[in-house]
Amino acid sequence: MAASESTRITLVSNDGAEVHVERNVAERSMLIKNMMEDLGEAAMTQSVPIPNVNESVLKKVIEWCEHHKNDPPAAADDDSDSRKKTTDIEEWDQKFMQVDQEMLFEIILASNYLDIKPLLDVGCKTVANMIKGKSPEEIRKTFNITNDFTPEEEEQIRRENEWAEDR
Amino acid sequence: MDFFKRILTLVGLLDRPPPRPDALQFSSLRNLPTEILLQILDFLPPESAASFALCCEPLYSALKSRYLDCLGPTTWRRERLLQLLERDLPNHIVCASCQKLHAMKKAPRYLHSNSDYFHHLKCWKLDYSALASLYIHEEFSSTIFEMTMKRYRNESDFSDLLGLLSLKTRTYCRHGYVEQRTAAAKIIDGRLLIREQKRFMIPTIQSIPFPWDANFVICPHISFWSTRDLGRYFRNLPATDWKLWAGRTDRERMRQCKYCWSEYRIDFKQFGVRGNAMYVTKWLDLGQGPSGYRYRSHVSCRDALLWLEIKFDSGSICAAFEGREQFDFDGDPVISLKDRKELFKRSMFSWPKHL
Repeated sequence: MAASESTRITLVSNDGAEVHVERNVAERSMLIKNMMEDLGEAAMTQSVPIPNVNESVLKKVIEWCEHHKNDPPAAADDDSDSRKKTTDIEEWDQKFMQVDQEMLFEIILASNYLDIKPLLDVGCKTVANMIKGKSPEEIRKTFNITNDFTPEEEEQIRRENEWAEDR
Repeated sequence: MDFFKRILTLVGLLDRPPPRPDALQFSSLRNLPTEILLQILDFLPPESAASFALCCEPLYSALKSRYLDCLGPTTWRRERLLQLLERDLPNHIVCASCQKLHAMKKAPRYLHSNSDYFHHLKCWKLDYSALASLYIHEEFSSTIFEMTMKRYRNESDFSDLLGLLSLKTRTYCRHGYVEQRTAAAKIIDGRLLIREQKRFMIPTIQSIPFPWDANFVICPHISFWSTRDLGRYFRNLPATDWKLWAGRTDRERMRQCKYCWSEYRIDFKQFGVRGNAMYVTKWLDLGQGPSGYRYRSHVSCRDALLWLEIKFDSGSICAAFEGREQFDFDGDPVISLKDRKELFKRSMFSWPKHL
């Protein structure tokens, strides 16, 4: 076990950068973990390409994996309600997620691709917190969404959903 | 109408509507796969997810059935969503009773006299059962109050709504006497203040200018039913000595309620053969909105009448409304020349014989 912890592997981002990382850190990613198991000893000697993630995002994801390398594995029923109901994020993760929106969504996409559920959850919760308690216009401003409804359509929606008193 | 527009557009007689802009073109959300978007929204309370679904047409069509149709007609979640929507709508309020958005451009429908809406407007019914028309004034609407305060908070023009919260003089020919009612509304220091004046023109043959069927109320806690109540108001003066009342100071005439933010005074004026008039003027401080304690202390709420003692400086509501300490009950801002003429024109010389 001690030997495998110190084993380093090489990941290659889609922009060709090599990133060296401890194997147990990289195995926070279920994708890499499964790949390691499939490749066996060969994985130790050759680099592992990560075709969907660029260098800066990959480094950021590995930074998260480093910090969380000793976390207990996620519960098997990770779709349970307890996971869904809270948008609380621990302090370190909050700071980690203080990045611009492009990077935030890149991290989410990368964690989805690399199959790192806890990181994906932290990303989704961060975005959820950006939406929570906001009006549609406030959300539009947050995410730079153009309002493509005409005033008539907006009124129509209010009528359809019986939100407006228009008799 | 829409159908004809569509036909005319198809045959090229009307300009085609401009193409819909790509709402997500400049948004960082544009590359997010739907399953991740749904994961994000599943972390949110339904009203926030619904608010998100209303951002643009692509999100609305993709998410409507999942996040909007499940909110139900009368849930608190629905009310929370309406509160979020209201922030984007400077000319609407959320009505907690009706669980709907009410448009300010349709404000007159909420007036008390507009009973056409009695059967489906819960807020109208609530004002009706709380006797707001009796305790505040006969056209008062708490819904319009809410609208006015929203405009005030948004620093936009609320004069038209304030006009609806006032009451233009109405003259009633009662059995043997004439009654006039006027009310004005002002927002002072973020609170709605109302001044209502009732004027009773009584024939001179009556020893006390007091309407025989008096049932005028100041607030839920103070009302006048007979000359005995008038004597109680005078304290150490019998009701028959009402002419001496003119010699009392403003401070002596002003009374306040112990249980709600109301002040009132009664004045008399002799108009020779035309009759004697009694002026009942009250000032109410209704607070910052209909959900606040100040307002609720003025109406009989669904649960109970509020009998908790409160404290405020005597004369302070009147002074705040009038902008000065002195009050001329028969003066210009309260009663116009036209109103006075109307009062004289209709004044009577007889009194119901059977009384």
